[in-house]
Amino acid sequence: MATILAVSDVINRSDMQQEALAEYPVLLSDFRVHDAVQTNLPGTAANDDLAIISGTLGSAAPSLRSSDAKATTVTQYARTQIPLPPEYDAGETAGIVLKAGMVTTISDDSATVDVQCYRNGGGSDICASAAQNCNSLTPSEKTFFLTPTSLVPGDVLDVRVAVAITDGATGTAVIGEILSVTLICDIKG
Amino acid sequence: MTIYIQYHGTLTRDAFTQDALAAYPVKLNKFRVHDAQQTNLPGTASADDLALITGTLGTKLPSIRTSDGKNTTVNQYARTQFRLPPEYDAGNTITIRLNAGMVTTVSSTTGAVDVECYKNGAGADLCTTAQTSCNNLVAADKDFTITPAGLVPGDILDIRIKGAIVDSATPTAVIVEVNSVTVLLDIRI
Repeated sequence: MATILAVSDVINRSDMQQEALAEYPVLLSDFRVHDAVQTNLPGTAANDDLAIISGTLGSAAPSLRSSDAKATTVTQYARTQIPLPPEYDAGETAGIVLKAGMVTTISDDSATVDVQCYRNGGGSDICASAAQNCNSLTPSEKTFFLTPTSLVPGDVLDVRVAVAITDGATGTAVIGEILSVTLICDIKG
Repeated sequence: MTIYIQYHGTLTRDAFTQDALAAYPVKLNKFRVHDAQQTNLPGTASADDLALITGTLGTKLPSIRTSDGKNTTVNQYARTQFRLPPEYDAGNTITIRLNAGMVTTVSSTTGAVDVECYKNGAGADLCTTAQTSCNNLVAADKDFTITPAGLVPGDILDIRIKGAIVDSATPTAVIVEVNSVTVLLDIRI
């Protein structure tokens, strides 16, 4: 049955109901070496660089992984830039979700993931969440909320993810893995 | 003014007001060597290729730079492709905005940026704006107008940007820097 809607002029974006925490997956191939962004991530993690792992087509999507941290300490990074879309509701909730866990063996001490985020590359880190535990063989989503004050559509978020592992006595591989990275934000339209 | 819409359960895009010049930032790591698209931009500009500069996390986004053009002439390029999104209002305004300026020293003669743009990779250059000066240590937005006639959602814009320097008498570095590339589009939700 037809309904008569009365609206002012035609419909503006502001007339629409907000959709909370819409998801915008980030292609992991968009990540680069954090301090040499002209360089793709390596296939094997080394020094302070995470690796991008191919995954077998049909079995697993590409992922980001640390090197083997058994009986040692590893902190490794990758960096990308994420634009806020035109439909982002300025100043409203935004965050970065990492799906992360461990490969082969958990650490006997700690394994965490972390996010740093800078609006248009400068200022202070707007990631309001501290590093989060990912020391489990069952990956799960870790949400890092951003301070959205001043964020507007078209802003570019300069994002660096980190995997940090401390292990003292594990005999088999202790590897941190990020399976997905997703921008979440409140949108209209 | 209040108007009334007879609502049958769906709305077409035409029911919405146009968002003029919505910003779609282009990730600078999407630019490749202009005549070797399998190759990322180098970390140092050379020959006719612009470089992708990392920028310090927390201080500056990655940028694109020429080599040092002091006492010489430089014309260097980078190329990417941009897909017009489903919400683009066919045939309406498209602008490619470069935020650009000079690093260290302005040129004694010319420091400029330019844009070429081809619909689906062929035909005439759709960019109607000529090479534009950026010969200033304070970076500024430089807008390049794209002829929108015939452009529809799903079209691919093949975009090549240029940094151009002519310098003859400067003792210190003369470098063109592009801080950001943004496609501005008229869209409907």
